Amino acid sequence: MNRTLNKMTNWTSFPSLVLIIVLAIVNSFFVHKFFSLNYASSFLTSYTPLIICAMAQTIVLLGRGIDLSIGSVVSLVNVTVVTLVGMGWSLPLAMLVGVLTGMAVGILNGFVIGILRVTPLLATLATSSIAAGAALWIMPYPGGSVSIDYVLWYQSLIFGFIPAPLIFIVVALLIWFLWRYTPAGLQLYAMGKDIHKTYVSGVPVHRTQFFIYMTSGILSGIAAIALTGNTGAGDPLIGESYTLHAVAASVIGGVSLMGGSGDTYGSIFGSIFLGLAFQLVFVLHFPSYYQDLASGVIVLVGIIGASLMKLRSSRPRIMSTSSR
Amino acid sequence: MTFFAVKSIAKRYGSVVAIQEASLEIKPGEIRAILGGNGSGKSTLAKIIGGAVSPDSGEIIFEGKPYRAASPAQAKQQKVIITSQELSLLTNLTVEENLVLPAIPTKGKLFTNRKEMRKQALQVLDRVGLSHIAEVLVEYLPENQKFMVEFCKALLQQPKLLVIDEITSALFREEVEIFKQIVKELSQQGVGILFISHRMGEIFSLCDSVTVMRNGQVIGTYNIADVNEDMLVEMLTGTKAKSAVRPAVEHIEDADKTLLSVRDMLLPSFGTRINLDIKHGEMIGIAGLQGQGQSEFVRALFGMLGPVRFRLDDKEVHIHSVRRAVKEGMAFLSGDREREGTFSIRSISENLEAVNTSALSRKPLNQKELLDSYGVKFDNVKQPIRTLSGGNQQKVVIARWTGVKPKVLLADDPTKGIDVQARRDVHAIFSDLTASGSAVIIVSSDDEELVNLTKNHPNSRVLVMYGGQFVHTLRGDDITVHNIISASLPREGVESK
Repeated sequence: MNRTLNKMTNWTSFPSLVLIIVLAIVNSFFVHKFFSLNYASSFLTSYTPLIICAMAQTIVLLGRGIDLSIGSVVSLVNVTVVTLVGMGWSLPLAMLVGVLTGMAVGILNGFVIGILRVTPLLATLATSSIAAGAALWIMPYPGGSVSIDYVLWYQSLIFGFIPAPLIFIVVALLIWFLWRYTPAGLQLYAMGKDIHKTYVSGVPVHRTQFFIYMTSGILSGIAAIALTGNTGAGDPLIGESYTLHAVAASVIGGVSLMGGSGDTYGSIFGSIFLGLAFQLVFVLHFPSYYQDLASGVIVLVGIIGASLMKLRSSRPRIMSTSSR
Repeated sequence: MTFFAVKSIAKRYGSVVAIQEASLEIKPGEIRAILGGNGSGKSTLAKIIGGAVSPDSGEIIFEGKPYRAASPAQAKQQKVIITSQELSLLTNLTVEENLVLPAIPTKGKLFTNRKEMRKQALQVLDRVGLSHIAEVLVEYLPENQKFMVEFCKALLQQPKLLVIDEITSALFREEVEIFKQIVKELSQQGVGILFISHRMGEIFSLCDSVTVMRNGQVIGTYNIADVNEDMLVEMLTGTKAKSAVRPAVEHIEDADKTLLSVRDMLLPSFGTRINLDIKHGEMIGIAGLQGQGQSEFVRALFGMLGPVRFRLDDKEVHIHSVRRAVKEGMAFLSGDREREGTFSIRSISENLEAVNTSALSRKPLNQKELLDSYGVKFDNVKQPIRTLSGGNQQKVVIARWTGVKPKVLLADDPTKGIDVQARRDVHAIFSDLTASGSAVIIVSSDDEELVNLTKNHPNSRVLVMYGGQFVHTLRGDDITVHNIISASLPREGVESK
């Protein structure tokens, strides 16, 4: 029992779980019927895209990279899907093309970073700009729509108790499992710690890097599909905030920016934390002009809090020679 | 059929020649020592063989065929395995994960097979008596066990040719014996072994032959029976070896005065309390079996394990941080260069000034003179320190501390992975430091080193630790390897905690 408890508190995602609980209690004072399936469902409807974006960012961060193109990919996929539907394509086919579009940007990132060995920061900043530009080119103004059936399904409860957005999260989790429980996962964590040592160990690090960014692209695409279900329309700027929020959610969830530490559950918790905080700002009736400011402050406070808690739980172990 | 031969390999990094010309050949089952000073090119040679570095010219023959390895992965496919002095272990993974990283076992060709991973790891860990650490994060392992794990990682890949780069320098006696035993078994199975080491004793007890390298060239290859230690040192340095410790300095000012007085200092991981008085100009060797508190002791004195109080130079000092310790005139030299020594991507110059100008805000040192006096081989002080060989890097770190004239120098296995000549140079520097009235406290896993260092020193002691306490003090003629070993062993009355 004690051991389980110990393992629990040493878990990198543990601090974010505590943060969620605290914030949930605070929220319950302001939100009517906070602890209800309906509220949970509507919460997921709004924040599933963020959760999946954070999961994408986490895989990249674990390998000691960063993907700044996530937000733009979300916008690009959103407008692609809506435009294709507007052209008379069937929704599933449009969604498939959407996800493939996200994957294409991911492959471009993977190629530039893994094969051409450009720094992730620069590479993804550039591809982010390309994706954002492409989104505006496809759809200069917000508009279009997907079928109302999809929107209603997305907001519904399957079998009366499973919020539909959960399906998207489960799919994203399956992709995470594909990393975590295959050799690639071990290689990912190894690479995040020290790419040279991993290379010397015989791991094909450049191939792994390629797949990391490809995965991030696919997940961003899935996030955009979920987002489209929430908004029901196309907007070339809709994804903008997701890049920063995905990094913030990951960090709040205990994922190290220095790579090799953390897991996807942390990023899910981190996203939920941000979602709860944004909801709080909303129910406290902040004037809408200040909402950006408020959410920025929340992100900063969340990151600082997470870092402080991490510092406490993992004091630097200076002793290098102790045999016990 | 040629088993393994290196033919006229050359490698340069910019204007620095790492290997001018190197050729050697070994037979299956042969254990060949590669001996060379700082910057002799032996580590570069190992990296070339392992596929981490590609040579500028020359060729390698392996099992009768030309051998090419464009990456470590390719070298491993051909069963050419290197253990690295810098260690290839990832500290955020467990021991078993590290062990299988080069070839992770799978089930159904997709998923990681944890069971098989455990099985493979235990198989190899059992051989070195470390099966209890399979699930431990490498981060939490002591230095010596990390080196054992690095060795196990190589073993697990079933090498046909095994290159061992400086592994024993961090190991303790009993581990060295296990290591030797396994190497001998490998040799009986026909594995070719290149053993890069500075420890003469091991070279003579383990190897069949020895190749000596100097300044990027192979000086010669000899049967081990045809050479002795003095001959090898002579070949290494190109000169007659200097005596290890300089003649005793006649008079040290304040020689009778206590410099450092420690009372009831807590060693946290043992829960024991330490008392010790050290005089000006004393050379203190700290010996003992692995992990008996030697490293903790010097780290505690340096304020790394929490606040401590002691009397230093007639003044009560309260060390609440490492910074405070440095300001009070304490210096700490670690054998773990990568982690606690160098700033690897910064220049020699910046590394040298890290304490002097950065921490103490003093006037810049005369860098060139300081480096030359320690015999550091370098192009210019602006080059990154990582371009130097390990021994030269350590000399720069030592110069960093001696340059600020510390009152007490704490050293934790400072000559780990340093060649014979550089080691003697370091010892001479320590001696000079005590001659100027400072005290040196040195922990070493190499008992012979402690004997060399303290035996002829006028004010010296070897303190033997066990279970976080000093259990024996040896002085003068009593300081022998034999006495240190026998004092280190647990016996009645000294209970392990």
